Amino acid sequence: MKRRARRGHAYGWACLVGAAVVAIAVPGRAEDALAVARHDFDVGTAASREERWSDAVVAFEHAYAAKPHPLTAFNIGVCLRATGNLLEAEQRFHVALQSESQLPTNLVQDARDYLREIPVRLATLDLEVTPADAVVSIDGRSLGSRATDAERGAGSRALLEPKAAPTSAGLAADATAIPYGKADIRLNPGVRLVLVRKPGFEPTVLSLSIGPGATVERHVNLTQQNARLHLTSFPERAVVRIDGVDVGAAPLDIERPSGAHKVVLQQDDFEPYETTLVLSPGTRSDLHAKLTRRRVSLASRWWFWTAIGVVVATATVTTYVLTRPPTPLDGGGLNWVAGR
Amino acid sequence: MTLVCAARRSLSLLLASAAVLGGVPSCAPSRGELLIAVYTDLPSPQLASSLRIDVYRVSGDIGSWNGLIWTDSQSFFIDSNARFPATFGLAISPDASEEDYLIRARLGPDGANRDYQGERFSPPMRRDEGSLDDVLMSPPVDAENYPRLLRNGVDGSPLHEPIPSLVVDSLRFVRIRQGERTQVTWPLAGECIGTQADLVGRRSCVNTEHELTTLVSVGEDTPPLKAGTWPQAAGPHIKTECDAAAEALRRKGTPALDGLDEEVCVPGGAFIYGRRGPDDQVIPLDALKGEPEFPQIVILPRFYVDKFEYSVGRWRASNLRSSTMELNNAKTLSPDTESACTAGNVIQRDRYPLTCVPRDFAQQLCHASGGALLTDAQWTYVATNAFAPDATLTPWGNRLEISCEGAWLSHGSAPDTFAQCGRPFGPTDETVFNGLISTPLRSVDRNGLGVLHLEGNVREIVDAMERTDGRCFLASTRLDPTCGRQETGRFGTRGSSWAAGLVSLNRRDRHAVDLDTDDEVVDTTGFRCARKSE
Repeated sequence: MKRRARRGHAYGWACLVGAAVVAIAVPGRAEDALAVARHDFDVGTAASREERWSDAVVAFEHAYAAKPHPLTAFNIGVCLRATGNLLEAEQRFHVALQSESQLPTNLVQDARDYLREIPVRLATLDLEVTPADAVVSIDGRSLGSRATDAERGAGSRALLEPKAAPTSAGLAADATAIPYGKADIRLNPGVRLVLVRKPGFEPTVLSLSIGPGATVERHVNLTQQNARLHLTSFPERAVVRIDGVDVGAAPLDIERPSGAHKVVLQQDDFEPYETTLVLSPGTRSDLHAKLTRRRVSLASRWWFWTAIGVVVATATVTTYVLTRPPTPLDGGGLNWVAGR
Repeated sequence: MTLVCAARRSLSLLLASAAVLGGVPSCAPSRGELLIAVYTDLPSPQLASSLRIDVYRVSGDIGSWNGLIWTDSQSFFIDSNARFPATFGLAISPDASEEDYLIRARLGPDGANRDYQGERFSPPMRRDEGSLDDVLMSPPVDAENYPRLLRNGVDGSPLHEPIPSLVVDSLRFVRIRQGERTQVTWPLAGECIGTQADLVGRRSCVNTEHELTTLVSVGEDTPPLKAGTWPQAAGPHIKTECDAAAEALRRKGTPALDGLDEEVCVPGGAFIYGRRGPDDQVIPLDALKGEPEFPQIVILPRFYVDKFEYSVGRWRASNLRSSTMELNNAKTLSPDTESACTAGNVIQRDRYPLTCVPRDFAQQLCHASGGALLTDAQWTYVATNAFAPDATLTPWGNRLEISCEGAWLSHGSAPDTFAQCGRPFGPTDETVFNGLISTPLRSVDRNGLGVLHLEGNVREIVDAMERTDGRCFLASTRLDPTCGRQETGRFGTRGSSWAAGLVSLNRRDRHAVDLDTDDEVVDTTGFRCARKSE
């Protein structure tokens, strides 16, 4: 505790020195930016002194945005490291060392020390996702590759780590899919929320509690998402049959697995509406079926055939009555009719 | 609705319609028609085995006869009571709206026909209505009374017609309308036998003999008759059966007379008396013999008849000796004599039939035993077994031939033309029947009831002798008719005698004897008696 406090104080003084150096070195119109940077730097310094690391990060980020300087980046790294954001801190330290000539020698050494410490303290998530090419985000942050394919080698596990900026609710355009479904993901230790997503599949959320330097393995089987189908018809109340099964009357919303489905809508006095929909998982499809009124043929009317039958029967009976032979005469038991 | 559903529904309705139409009564016949049911109480086939129907259309057209046009004729054979009612139809002409018809039905025994020679109507006449000479036996052929049956312009008149005296002859008037089908019942009562219908006068008998009634029009409903009930249950209601009551009153035979006065009960009934038709077997020997020319139906109640000829012994026991008879029988009966009178005292022949007896004395002797001489009808009835369903030609059956062993015939001085059976001369009794014949044979000269010697032994005197023209019986009632001497002026004998040859044997052999001739008393003639059964 005492050592941490002593170290924290040391960082504070380092920030102040860094601030003074920055103030001296920045000329000109950039004087406005510099002033802003200096101001924010001071704010950040004050916050860090009070160990208000998050506030200090914000202030230093503002200062860096106004006037990038490796010292500022170093300070940001220190503050992020203090808050446990080791991956982000590691990134800042790398940035700071890119201009290490502008850093005091001790800060350079500190940065290098940090960079040796951080990987040890990072956690690792060995993630395998089926199907492959799922996109993973950690605590809302999409993952980025830590190595090229060449470095990694084809078929090997992807080396990923969350990017700096958290993603929105939807997938970031630059979100990296896990090729081959396997990835080693470096994580800041602690409780992490892993979201695995792939279009057409149900997203899977993993809540992990990973200690420093720990490695966790997880295998995620994504469940394919059903497609949603919204059916309407004209006229309404057409009976809907999907793949031969009555599913109700339009309008209706229904989910079906992705793939091709035969949809038929029927209504009395209308021609059946038939179509084949190819549904994608997790997508919504809208179908509005406009039925065509059927041109009903007489041959399908029951009364038509009944009328035909009556006419035929009447004609038959009439013909028979008119042409039939006379009723046989009764000859009785003697079988004789006089005057026949 | 699918096409299958539509077809099913329409088919169901069509079938329902067909079922309804099938239950609709058929249309009325296109031609008017009348169904006629003929009933009778006559027994079939004995007296009702031939039904002749003649149909006349009432019309005044040219070619009609007395307003009648003969349109059709048909004869039917009926073999049992069960065939009645006999039904036939009469149809109206197709192009007529209404027609009147006169139908004539004649019901009688089969084969009783005469040649058709036009309509020859003989009005019924009772004996008390005039002399027998007034009885019109056979009306002359009248060209004007000669209706003909024309079929397509061709004369199809039947060649024969039923003998009027043997049939029920009835007329019926009917009216038929086009499109109508009606039925009528037509009773032919046995009481109307022999009462000829008057076709011209449109009259016929209904149910009373000798009475003609105007035609019965269609629509009158008369109760049907039951075949086989006449004359027992219908008509004269005679007793016919020889039941226990009759048996109790039958004379069983007196032991002192060797039972030769025994009687036999003869069942009553109706039968055809006289020649039935031209083909009937008749072997006439002379003009006096032969069946009465005009046959008729005779009804006889049950009665008793002597089993044997009246014997000498019965005569002796009767205390009715006649001096005249003793004189006639003075000669001794011996094989050498020519006389076979059996009443003489020289040889006791009490078991022999009494011969050489006057007719009147024979009648007295029968009266003394409560009976009477048989009538000619009775003798025919017994000798031909006419009380049975099938009458026979001879007492013993339909075989005319008989041997010397079977009947006492052809003995004595018979003419050379006849076969002789040898001696002894004269009649015989039961014990010496076989006489000189070595083979002992019982007589077959007996009828179905066991009455002996109806054909052979002696001729038998009968009370009535029909005139050869048959008027006597024709004019009398059919119930137990009799034609006595006062009506005919003669008496007769039936059967053959010990002197007659076999060739003379036939059921109708008659020998008429005038009352005033000497033939009244002969040694070949005897008699037997009949007695009424109450």
